[in-house]
Amino acid sequence: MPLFATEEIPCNIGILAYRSKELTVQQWQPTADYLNQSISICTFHIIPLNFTEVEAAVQNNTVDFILTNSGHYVTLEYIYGITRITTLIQTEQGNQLKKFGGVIFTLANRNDINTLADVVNKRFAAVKDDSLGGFMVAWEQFYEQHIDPYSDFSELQFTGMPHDNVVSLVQNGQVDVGTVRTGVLEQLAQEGKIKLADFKVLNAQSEKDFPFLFSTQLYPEWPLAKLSNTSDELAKQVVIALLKMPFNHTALQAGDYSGWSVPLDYQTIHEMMKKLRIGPYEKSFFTWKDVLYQYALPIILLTLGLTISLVGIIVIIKINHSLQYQIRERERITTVLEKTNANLHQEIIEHKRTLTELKETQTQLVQSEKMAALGHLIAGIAHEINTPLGAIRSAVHNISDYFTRPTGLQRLPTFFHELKLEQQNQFLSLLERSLQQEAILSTKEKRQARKALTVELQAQSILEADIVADSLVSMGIYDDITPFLNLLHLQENQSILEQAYQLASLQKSARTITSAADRAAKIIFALKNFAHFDQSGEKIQTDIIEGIETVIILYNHQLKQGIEVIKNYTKLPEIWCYPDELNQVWTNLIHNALQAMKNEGILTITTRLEENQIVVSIQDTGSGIPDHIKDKIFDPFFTTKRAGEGSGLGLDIVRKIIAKHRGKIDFVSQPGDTTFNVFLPLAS
Amino acid sequence: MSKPVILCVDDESMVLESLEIELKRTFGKQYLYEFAESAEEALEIIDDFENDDSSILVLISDWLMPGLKGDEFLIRVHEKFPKIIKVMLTGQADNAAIQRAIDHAGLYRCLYKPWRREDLIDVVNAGLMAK
Repeated sequence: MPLFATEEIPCNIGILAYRSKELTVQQWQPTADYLNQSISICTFHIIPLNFTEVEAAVQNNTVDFILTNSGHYVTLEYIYGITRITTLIQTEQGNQLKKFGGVIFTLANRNDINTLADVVNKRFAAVKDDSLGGFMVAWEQFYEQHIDPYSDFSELQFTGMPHDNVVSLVQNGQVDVGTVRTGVLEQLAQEGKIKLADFKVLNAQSEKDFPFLFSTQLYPEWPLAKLSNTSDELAKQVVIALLKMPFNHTALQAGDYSGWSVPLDYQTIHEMMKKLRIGPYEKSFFTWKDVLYQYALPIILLTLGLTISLVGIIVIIKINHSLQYQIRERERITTVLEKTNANLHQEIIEHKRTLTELKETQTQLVQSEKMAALGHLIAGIAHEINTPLGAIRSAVHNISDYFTRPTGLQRLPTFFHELKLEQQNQFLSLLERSLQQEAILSTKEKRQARKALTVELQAQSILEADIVADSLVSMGIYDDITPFLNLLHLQENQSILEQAYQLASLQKSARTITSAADRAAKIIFALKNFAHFDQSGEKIQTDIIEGIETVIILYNHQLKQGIEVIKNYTKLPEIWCYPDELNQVWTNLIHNALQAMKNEGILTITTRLEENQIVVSIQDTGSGIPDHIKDKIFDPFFTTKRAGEGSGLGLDIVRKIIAKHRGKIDFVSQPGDTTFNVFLPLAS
Repeated sequence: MSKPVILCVDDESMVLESLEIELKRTFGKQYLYEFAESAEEALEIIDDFENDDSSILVLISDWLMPGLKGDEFLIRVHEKFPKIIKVMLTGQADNAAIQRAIDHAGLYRCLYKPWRREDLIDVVNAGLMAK
């Protein structure tokens, strides 16, 4: 029990009085008393109100709680934001009911009416158009069957309360079909006013624990609701008190109900009303708000669906576009590819041809490098050959001329005839000395010899000593002239010497021809060796030193310009090789050495045998290879020479040729000492 | 006064010997004949002769020789003795060198090995006449 009753704070419970207000107060006062006993913070009063008064009381907040029927509650909830806090458990024919619905019925013998669809164009009766159990729930069922009671029935009659009126009309055949709140038929049957068997229920439903016939959805019974201003604390205490109300409390008997339940869900009523556009949803015909409110989920889903569909369609269109584009692109690309393919095919053919040409060019380059090396030699070789040719031509002319000129052979018999026997002998010995002369003096030595002889001849009082001396030296007689002094003292000494010189020159010419021919032959032989283009492509057993010598002969004129050649030859066994190609190697290496030395210095060529290989070293005293090009000198087309002087292929070809012989080449270089070493295996 | 001199320069003794025979047989005792195996040696001879009051009339020089090349040699001689008739006798024609000798050594003629005796004699004669 509360310590203090606070009479000062009233708490009004408005209750819809569908009978008289007195009866209503009488019915509910015990419940208010119960609450007053349970709750101390305020005093509860029952305020009986009719329909319009209920709404005014809610609107003006003159009540704290409101108890009204479910349909009415939903409207107030919608408009004024009242909140149900508990659901009334009704007592009907001994049953405790938290739900109610409607029953649609016709006479049992109406064979033409079996379903809701059969009701179309039939006469229909209900108690009131705003009665939830008495009409709306039935309407909902018709609505679901796409039947509009207001247009599809031949007659729609609202009888007014009580529900019994509707049952009477159907029973009497004044209407074909009627609807009433659940429990009415059973009540009338219990009272003996009708027999249930005379009626049949259309669209009959069943639900566990629901005792009456029904055709519709079941909806929650009356809720007790709190107004929006009513404190949550008070509402909580009221709910707790009501839920705790003992099942045998006197208030229950007075109120003719069974108790209170946790509040049921009234949303179903909202949805039903929205569907039918009644109650709070009546005015807002076709407003988007309603639509949104009622169909929020479907709309959201639909919108979502549509959006997804739209997006999908757009995406599909785009994809389609994209695909079409891609197809076109692909077709284009295919065309391009086909063209490219054709081009590539053409290019491959071109490349193959180019490759063939390049191979030919390479062969030509190798050949031309060989010819270039030869070209370096040609100038010198021309000199080398023209020199002996010139000498030969001169000598031959001298010999042939001797036989024709007056002072020559023609003069000889007379000349001998004029000489005394002793003089003849001296002449012959002079000639013999000349012919036997083998020492070859340099021009300088000859001049010295001539000077010495001149002095000696002058001492012997021989006239024109210088001319005599010159003749003697020309004949190769440089000293020991005593045996010829008698002859030289003769007045005709010059004529005698002239004849002797002529004869001696014949021999000299013959010797010149021999040596010149040898020289020319040697060069030609070297050239032939060098330019020997081996067509067989097979290796030949060759003495490497011979090849080196060949090259040295060809370079002879250049070497003798200022190069001292040192040959450190160790005799080598013959090896199987490509001699003309190796000659190119020696030519390149020697040529490079000469260039490095600028034709002045020492060229040392060494051959030696080392295990299973031959080593040929070509050393020069030239400027050396600068460090920064040491790793490039074997690269093709690398050259330090001016344009036109070298192909830059020399050392590349050298390396290739040596590689072909399974050999290798290396070098060490510093200023004044560069050595290239060529290693060739003995066994191929 | 000494006889005028014909000087031949060639690094090949067989050429010098051939020239000696040809020149002597042709010109006999009219001239003295000197032979040098290099340009350097020839320069010594020229100096000697000029000091001895003889004179070099004709200089016949090879081009490709060890040391000083023919054109440089002739140019050097020309600087000192422009009157000497300079003839080149070469087995190999280096046009640039010959042109240098023409421009800077007053080269009279260039003969090519193998030469013909007549040409050699003609050139010497013509050179002597031109002097």
